[in-house]
Amino acid sequence: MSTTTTRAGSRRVLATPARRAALRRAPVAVAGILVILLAWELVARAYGKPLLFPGPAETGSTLLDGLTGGDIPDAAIASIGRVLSGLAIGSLAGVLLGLLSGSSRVLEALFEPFINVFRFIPPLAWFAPALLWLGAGETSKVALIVYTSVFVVAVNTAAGVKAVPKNMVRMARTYGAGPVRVFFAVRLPASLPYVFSGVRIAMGNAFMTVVTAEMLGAESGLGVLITEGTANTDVRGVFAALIVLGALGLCADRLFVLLLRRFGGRFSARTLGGP
Amino acid sequence: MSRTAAARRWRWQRLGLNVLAVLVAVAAWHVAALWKDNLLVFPTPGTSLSALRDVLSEGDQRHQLIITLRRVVVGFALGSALGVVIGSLIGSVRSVALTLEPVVHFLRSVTPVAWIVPATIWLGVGEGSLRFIVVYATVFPVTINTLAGLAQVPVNKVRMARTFGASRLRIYRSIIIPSAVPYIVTGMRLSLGYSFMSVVAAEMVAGRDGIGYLIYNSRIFFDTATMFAGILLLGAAGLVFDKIFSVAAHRGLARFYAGQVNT
Repeated sequence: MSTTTTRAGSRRVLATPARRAALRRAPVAVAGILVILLAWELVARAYGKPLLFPGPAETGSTLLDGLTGGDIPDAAIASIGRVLSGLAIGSLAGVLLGLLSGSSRVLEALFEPFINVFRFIPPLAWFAPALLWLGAGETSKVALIVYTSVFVVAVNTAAGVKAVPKNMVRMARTYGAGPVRVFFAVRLPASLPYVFSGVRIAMGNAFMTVVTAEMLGAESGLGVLITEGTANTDVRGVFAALIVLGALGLCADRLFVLLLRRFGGRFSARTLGGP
Repeated sequence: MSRTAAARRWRWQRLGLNVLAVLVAVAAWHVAALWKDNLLVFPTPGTSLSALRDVLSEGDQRHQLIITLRRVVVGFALGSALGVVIGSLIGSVRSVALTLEPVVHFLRSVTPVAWIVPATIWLGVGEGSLRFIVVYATVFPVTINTLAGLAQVPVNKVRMARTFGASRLRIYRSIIIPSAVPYIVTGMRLSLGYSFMSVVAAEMVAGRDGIGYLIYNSRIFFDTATMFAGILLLGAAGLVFDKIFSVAAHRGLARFYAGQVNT
């Protein structure tokens, strides 16, 4: 927790106190995880049906098989492709919507009934109509992800635009900046951390949407792997898919924070410091 | 004086703009539906409303809504309670933190709905596994926020209590828990949204009843109007639950928010 504040400043220093503390804690953490794995293995052994409740060893070997020779990479690529394309479109639309409704209160009053209703409708509820309108192919899935991300990003962006410190805007005006200049030089950069935290939330939700949509019917994807496991009552495959999902979600989230620290620079340092 | 008058006028103007926007959208929807001229695939606002009336008036279908809401409430309550417990454990016991925190971060990255398969195999098809999904979806936001809340406890307050000779338990009860409450409430509000998202997904994948099932099942009959009715109901229920929760939390827990400008 406390490491996050120091990390940005001392990225290149090797042995900071925080890092040393992390190193000291590492063995305990590893031991703890080993204990959990061991407990899992023991429970699985006691249960005695590796097909229904596989232990870490069984799951691990299934995962390795799937990763090296099986269908996990293809499935993962299919799912990630859907998430990325939907997230990109949805975030762009959300940023636009949020910027508009954040900078003009008339536009905000026009948009807010829709944003407030739609963001409470679970994305998956639109799956059935999307099937009817867009067919069972890629379009309906990507459209669902766009829907998943657009309102989260819009709400966050609007909050960010409104949270821009008044004094920054005043200063820019004092120095003679027009409304357009104020927007691009002050409001937009200052609201970027909010935009990014919106995209980060949207990304998590997009994974949920895409997996469910794939489980309900798709050519390929991690959701398909999960349903295949059910059809064969082979939980090992399901667990392998779950682990891939968790790893993907975790990596995507970490990568997002990392990219922000690296390239978001002055915009992200404080607002997006979380663990 | 004139400032408050202007504010009051703006409030009415804003309401007017809200209503205007909704009216324009409904009109556009109506025109689009007439132009598309296929009421099965794209119903007008009128047919959707009458479908909504049907859903609400027929006892059998109204029951679907109640079933879904019950799943949300039960799962949300269980998941939040569990989240507070796990979060407090991780936040206060060093060895638990080192063991469980990575596991929690991993598990929260796994999409809840993906667990429906193991859940149905272990708990059977039906209520148990659906509730499991909702609990799974709600537990982690509350856990993470409880953790954040515990990390933000003002150190000086704890020091002061210690100086005055307060026991560990007393410090917990009077300082640490109260100052974490706003964070927990924020996590729970997030979780409430997730519980709606996950219950619909779970009902579509593995349910035999509930609004999610109703919506998904309507596709067989090309009954888009009923889908719209279900979607509207879900949106309304989500909105109402969120409002009830935030009002109740801020009224009931007002003393924990003392001195905070906004939460």
